[in-house]
Amino acid sequence: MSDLVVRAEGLTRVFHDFWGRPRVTAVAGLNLSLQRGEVVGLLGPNGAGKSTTVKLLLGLLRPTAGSIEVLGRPPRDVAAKERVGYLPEESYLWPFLTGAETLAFFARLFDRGAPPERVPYLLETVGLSGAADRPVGEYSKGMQRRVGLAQALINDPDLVILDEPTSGLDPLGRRDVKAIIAELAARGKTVLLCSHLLAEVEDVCHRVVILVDGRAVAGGALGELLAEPGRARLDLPAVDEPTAVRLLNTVREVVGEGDVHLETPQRSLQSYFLEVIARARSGGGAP
Amino acid sequence: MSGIFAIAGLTWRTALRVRLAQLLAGLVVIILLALPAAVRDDGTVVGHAQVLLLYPLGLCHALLCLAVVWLGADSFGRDMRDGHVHLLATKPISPAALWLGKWLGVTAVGGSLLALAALGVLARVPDGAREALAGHVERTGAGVTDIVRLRPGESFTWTFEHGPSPGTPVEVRLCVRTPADVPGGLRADVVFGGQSGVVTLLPGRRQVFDWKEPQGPLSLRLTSHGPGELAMPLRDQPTVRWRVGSFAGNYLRAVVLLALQLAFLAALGLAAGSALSFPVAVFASVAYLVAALHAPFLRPMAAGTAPVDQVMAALSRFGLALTDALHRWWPLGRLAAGDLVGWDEIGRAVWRLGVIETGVVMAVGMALWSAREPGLGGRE
Repeated sequence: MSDLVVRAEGLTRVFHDFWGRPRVTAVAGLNLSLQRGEVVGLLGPNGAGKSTTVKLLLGLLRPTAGSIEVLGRPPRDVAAKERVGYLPEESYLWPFLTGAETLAFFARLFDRGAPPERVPYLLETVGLSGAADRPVGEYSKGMQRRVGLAQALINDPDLVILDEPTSGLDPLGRRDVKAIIAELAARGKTVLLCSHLLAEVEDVCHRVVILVDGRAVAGGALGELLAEPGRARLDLPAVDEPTAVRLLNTVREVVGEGDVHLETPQRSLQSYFLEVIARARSGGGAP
Repeated sequence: MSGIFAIAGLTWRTALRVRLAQLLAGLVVIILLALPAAVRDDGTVVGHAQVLLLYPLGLCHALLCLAVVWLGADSFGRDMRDGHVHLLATKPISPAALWLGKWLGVTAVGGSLLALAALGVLARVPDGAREALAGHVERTGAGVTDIVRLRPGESFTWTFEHGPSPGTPVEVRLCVRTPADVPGGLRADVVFGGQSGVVTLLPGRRQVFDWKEPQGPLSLRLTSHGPGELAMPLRDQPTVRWRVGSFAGNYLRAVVLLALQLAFLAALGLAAGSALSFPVAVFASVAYLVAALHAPFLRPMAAGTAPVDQVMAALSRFGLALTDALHRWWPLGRLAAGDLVGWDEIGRAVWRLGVIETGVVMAVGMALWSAREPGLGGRE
């Protein structure tokens, strides 16, 4: 199998008004390629063309110019869709179907089908086993997001496109989604992630593409983009104040006077919150 | 195929949650329960059965026609409005298969409600009326002339080809006209199917004579004994009529024709909804239904027998041609008259209405839907 999962060249989409006059150029000459096993973040401010790009990749829109191949086929090709999973920005589910019925319905849309144990496995994976028989209309927004994610994975896709996957989720849900994305990448799946939550993109993505006004204005591996050349950080166990002063003096003797400082690191609120929840559930108190 | 049936099942479940479908299903039940009691008949069991067949069943069918075009027109529009199309269009089901699944679902809803209505009406048709309303075939005589005139002592013979097998009970229906009133009627000898008799013909009344077991080739020889001359214009000349099937069989075939019409209308509604927004699609589909309902008014204008100008006549012909799929196969009038709705007619209807006409509408609808961009969500 080729390692190139998505190839878009010169991708352009212009929206027209009622009279056929060009109104908005949502995507302008975008080049994009996704390799197998990559988790790529598609970033940009509102109106940058992220959703339009995703819809073009999924065949929901046709490009005004340029070409797209998804898994070696045009995006509207049914065979390509057999291997693609998509979580849209909104729920878009049928409120009268239960969670289990929703997944069973989507499983039937695939020619190669899904093994019978796939539905309960996915419900377990997204933490909805206990609510499988409740109508989706009774779910909270976070639960609808979870069942939406499960439907995107029903066919064990090679390419997963997630549009704001953690929108409406609590920190536990966000952690679960990030774990699922990491597991997908570990299994060689390709993930395209659209999100405004940069911290989450930073946590899970290998690479990002930043769109502004429909054009890719920056992109690359996160390690390279976020590195601060000319700076170094020393990480060590907590020390008392005299020891800290001695350490700073020693470092200044080596690297010279400059921006050298020592501080007590703070954990993130999310990390603290998760620990509190875990303790509460195991019967312990606050740390 | 499993994808098509999954879409059909989902369409079914969605349709049952549409308020209009619920309302119409309720109306069907109310019509079945209340209308037979509200409509007056002639006091006979046959008359009561005819009222049941024409009004409750006819009205239920009209409501179901409205329901299926509505549900069809709403189906794609609802998916666009509620965003379901984003999920469906990204799954490996072709636009044609999606379309077919929706058509199956809408048709199944209409068909189920039609079956409910048909069973409800059938259960209320009195046993005593079923014999009279069983499927009958009626034949006119071969070699008839525009008008037959018989003076006392003169005879005329009509021959009926392709009649029933020997021994089948037959009705002979005829009507005579006289220049002047003949209070006691005209006397005539009748020789029919190897049997003979003397009958009294009452001018101006369509009379029915039963022949229990006619034998041999069916020919009718009428010899007038007067008084006076009798005349029989073409429409009054004798016809023979005999039973060829049960009422239940005839009823079933009529319901099949109604179901084919619903399938056609479901395709029409979906095709409109494939290209147009929901209100426009419903308007177009309902306009088609209204035009089809006006066929009885359009026919004389199209035939030039009504005083209309050429433009109106041409428009009437166009309207009739456009709605031919519905009024050509209308079976309830014949069912209520006890006329046969034959298997040959079902075969023709399946081919022409079910395969050709519904198929063309489906193909157009699928092409329109394939040309749309689901991601636009009704914009642009």
